[in-house]
Amino acid sequence: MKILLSSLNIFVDLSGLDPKKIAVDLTMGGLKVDAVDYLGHGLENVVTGKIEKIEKHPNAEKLTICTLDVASEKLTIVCGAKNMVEGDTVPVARIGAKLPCGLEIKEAALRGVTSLGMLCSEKELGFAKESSGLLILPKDTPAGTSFAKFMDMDDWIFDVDVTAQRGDAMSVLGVARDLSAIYERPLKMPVYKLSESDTKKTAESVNIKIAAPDLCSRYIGRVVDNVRISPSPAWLSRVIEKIGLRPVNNVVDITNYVTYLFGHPSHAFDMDKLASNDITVRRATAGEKIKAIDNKEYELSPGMLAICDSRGPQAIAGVMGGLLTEIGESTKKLLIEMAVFDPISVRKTSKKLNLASESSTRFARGINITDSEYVVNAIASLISELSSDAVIYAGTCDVGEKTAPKKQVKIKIAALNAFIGQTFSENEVVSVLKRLNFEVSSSAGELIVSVPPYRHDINEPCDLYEEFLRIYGYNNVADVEMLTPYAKPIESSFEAGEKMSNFFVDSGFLQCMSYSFIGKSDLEKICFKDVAENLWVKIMNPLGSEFSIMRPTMLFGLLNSMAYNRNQKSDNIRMFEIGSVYRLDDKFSDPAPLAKNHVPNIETPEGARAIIEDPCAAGIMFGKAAENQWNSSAADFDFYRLKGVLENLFSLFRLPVEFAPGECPGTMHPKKSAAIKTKAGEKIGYLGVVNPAIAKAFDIDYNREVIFFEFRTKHMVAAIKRPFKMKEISKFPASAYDLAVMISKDTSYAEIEKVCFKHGGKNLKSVVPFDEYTGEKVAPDKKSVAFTLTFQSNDATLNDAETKKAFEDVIKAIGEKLGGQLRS
Amino acid sequence: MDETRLNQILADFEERIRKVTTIAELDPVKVDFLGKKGHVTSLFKEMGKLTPEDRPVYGEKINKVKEAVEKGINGCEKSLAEKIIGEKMNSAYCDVTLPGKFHEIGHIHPIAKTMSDIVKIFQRLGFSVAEGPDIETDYINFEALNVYEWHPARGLQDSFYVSNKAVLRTHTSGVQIRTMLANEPPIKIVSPGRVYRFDEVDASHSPVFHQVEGLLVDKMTNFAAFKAVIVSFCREFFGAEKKVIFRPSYFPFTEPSAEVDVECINCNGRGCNVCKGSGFLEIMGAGMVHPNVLRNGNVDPEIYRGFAFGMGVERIAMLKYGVDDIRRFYENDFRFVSQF
Repeated sequence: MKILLSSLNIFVDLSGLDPKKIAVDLTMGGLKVDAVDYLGHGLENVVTGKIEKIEKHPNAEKLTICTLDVASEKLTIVCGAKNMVEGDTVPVARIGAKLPCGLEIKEAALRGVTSLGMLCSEKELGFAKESSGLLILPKDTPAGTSFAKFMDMDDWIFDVDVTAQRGDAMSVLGVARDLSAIYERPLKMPVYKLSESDTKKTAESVNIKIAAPDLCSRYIGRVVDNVRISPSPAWLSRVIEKIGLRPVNNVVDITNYVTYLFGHPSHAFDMDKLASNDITVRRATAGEKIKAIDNKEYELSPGMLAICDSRGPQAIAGVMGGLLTEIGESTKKLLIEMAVFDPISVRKTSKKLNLASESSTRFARGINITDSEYVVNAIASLISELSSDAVIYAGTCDVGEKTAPKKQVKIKIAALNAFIGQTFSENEVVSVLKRLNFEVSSSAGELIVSVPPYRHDINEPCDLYEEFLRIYGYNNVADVEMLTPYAKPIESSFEAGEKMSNFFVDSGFLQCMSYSFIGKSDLEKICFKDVAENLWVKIMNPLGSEFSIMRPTMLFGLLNSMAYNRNQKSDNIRMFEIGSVYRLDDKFSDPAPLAKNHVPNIETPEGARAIIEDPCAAGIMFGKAAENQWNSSAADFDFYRLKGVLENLFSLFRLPVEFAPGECPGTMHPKKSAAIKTKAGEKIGYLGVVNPAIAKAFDIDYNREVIFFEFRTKHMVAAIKRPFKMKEISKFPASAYDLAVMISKDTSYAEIEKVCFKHGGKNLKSVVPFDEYTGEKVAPDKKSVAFTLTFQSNDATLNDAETKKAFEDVIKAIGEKLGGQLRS
Repeated sequence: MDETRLNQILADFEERIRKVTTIAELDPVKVDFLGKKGHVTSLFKEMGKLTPEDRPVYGEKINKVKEAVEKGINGCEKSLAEKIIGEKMNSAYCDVTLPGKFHEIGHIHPIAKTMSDIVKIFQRLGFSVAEGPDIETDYINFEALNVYEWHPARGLQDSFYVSNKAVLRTHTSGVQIRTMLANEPPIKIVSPGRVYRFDEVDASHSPVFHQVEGLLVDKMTNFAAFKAVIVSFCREFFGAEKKVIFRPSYFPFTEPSAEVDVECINCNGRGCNVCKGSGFLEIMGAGMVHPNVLRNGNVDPEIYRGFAFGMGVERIAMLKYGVDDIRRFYENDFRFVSQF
């Protein structure tokens, strides 16, 4: 909202204050000033000057020598323009001026003649992008006055960002009220003189009825006849332009000007175009339409408030007037509306119609009901000032409430002091509140505070604490460090998340962050079928189809980031992301308990589905490690490399898991993937080689592998907190036996390991594979597996015979149970 | 057994050891003097023939010979080893200017890092982390936080809806309500997390971003204590000398509300293009918890007071690391993330 310093001075005398300081003080008092600018910037040394004489330059054909009367003295100025004659008044930039166009005026000799300034064009003064010749000012312009003053540019403009609750500050008056409180300078209200007709009465020429008193608490109509519509005088159109509006005509400009001054929007109907003298403020009925002054037709829905004549809606209440009754050049008779509409109703209508105006933004924040008569009179008075023959009908047609219910808030000084943490006397508090126009009475440390009718934001003691604090100054309250009582910790995944992130980083992974929403085409690209489409969480109003589904997997984001980086010539990828994946519960629930427990859900005709968010970790590997190292010959990452990373991670968290073949989504290679399960058998995720057909869609060659994992981290969070005790370290030596067996390809290593532990006796400590071979040297359906068995006891040194026996039992069992043969 | 013999053995030893130049030559010397049949060993064997009076006298002398021989051998061994090591070192080759061989490490995302840096300061101040869902009920995200149904902050153009009653949370403030409903005061929490606003993607807007919010509720806290906590955080995070300013503002869930400005980290308050000449950067919104919010959290505002604060992680990371385009955070460009 733009406000002129000159306008503020109408209400409060701000003389002697630096406008930049005013901007800071307003901001620190709660009305944030985004910018404060001097309008006459660059015009400081420009004055009006009368051309007394024009002579030819002796040495230059295109130049003339002008003698300028600038009141205090006569100046000789060399000029190149042609469009002036003797007697014209023009803007004169004197020595020292730094013009808006960037030009600096210095004393200069032009072809031997000393020039003491420059005569200016509109372009040079910053008024126009292009101009030809000098700006010739009106004949009656006095010479020697400041050009900025003459153009009403000796002024400052504040751009105030009014927060949503401060409807009262959406005007010059509102801002002036704060300044009056801040500087303790009195607020003055301008007096508008009204000479009303002796014979004509508003009440006799219009009949207003409020049919929806819940949405319109007051409606004043005032009739002004014999108005001559014309362009506004310069002073008014300049104000209108400076505050960012477009001058239209005297009546429209006045209504806008008065809204700017007082914050109470009005509307003027061309009364001759109204079909009836009966005006009804009522809810629109279904199908009613109105063509508004923006030339667009709006269909009103039932419940929207409209100002209607006998034909139907002629204005959308508080939002915009209708085209049919718009003020035009031929308009003679006005009905001026000054109403109070319900903020929520205006906001709803404005939002539904996607139509906002200076008026609707103010009504939506709440306005002052008690100033209605004063403001409508201000409009009438200004109209008669600018259109001298206007006839102001006596009185108004004023229906509805005249005042808002009186609001009182009680505060205790002791409570205020406890709240702030600093001691203030009753006098200090009362003085500040009174400066803000609160009426205060006190008894026994309690203040009874009456709230002015325009302060819709003051309802509770804390609102008054803020009022006091913003004027006293937030920054004038001393900070007091306070030790608050021990607050018991809350369960969260933060620590586990940090630990996991650090682990992945240490393991060579780069952390990624992707948007939580993706597109249907993205899921199609990865042939995602793990969560059925009817269980996807879809956004009703997405920014675009590519952002319309809450991701049910992080696979797409990571593949996409991998492809992005490969395009940037980074061919070795290790990335992870910690975040959530989303889906709907496949079971239906009773909506009532979901609502009661604040469980987000989606209601469907069959029942409610809870929205499930699973915190997950996911990651991707491609290429090789340490590519940039000399003499390095690392192989491409493969399934086992990633499995090793995850085994490390789960062991760091002391969460025992199993990797089971199969049970993986179709996005994975059917053979090179494994489900990750807890010991209890709960599947928490999977890892595997990305299905080569999908990888191909991300420009990965068939013969290379992308390895991916994704698992839910819920158990990690619990595991990190689980207490544990150290395991005893054996004092006795271990003995190790190496073993190589030829065995069917279909027998998994896990089965071999299981048999070893079952038959290896209580002292078998570990089974560690060191080689697996399939290929030319063994039969096609066989593989060779070599591993080390380590025996150790915590109680004694094992004797050779004992371990030898256990070792042989293992070999025998592998033969009998698994058909494996010892390789020699 | 006389002293001449002892001296002779020592003299023989000295002569032998002087000639030793390799470890291999040293071994026979060891055997000849200290071995089972060595000269020194046989001296001890002969002690049995002495009278009980002489034994201690000679015993002491023989021991001295033995010590001298051992010392000679050890010294010889040590100097031979030093010689060998010296030669080895002299002939070694290593170009120390070649780059080292390393286990490649990854990098934390700048948003995660910034979030963690913020959280850890509050953890030191006794706050613990609390979390809530990204997809919230509109009651928790709006109404419970005093953002009534027709508040300007609501409506389709500001937030994403997945149903009429479920919204992608527009702030992590809902966690405050969930925490108050589930716990008795005193409460001290920070809630880091992902939030969503209906903003088209451009250099300074992202429909997905992150916040860290905090809440303290207890019987004693007040405006002065609130300011002290915020100032402590700002100084620790942005620099001990930084000025911190509280500017009145408006949020439906706090009253009084404040914007917190910290002296510009780029120009230290002189005014630059980062702070648009103001010398200060807006870094968080904060205030005393509105009584309606306490009530909605089942906390009695007559007994308890609270303060809350919230900041945008992307904005802070952009300021701190000089990132000029918010989209960088979601491209996952290796060349960008690996700088953190």
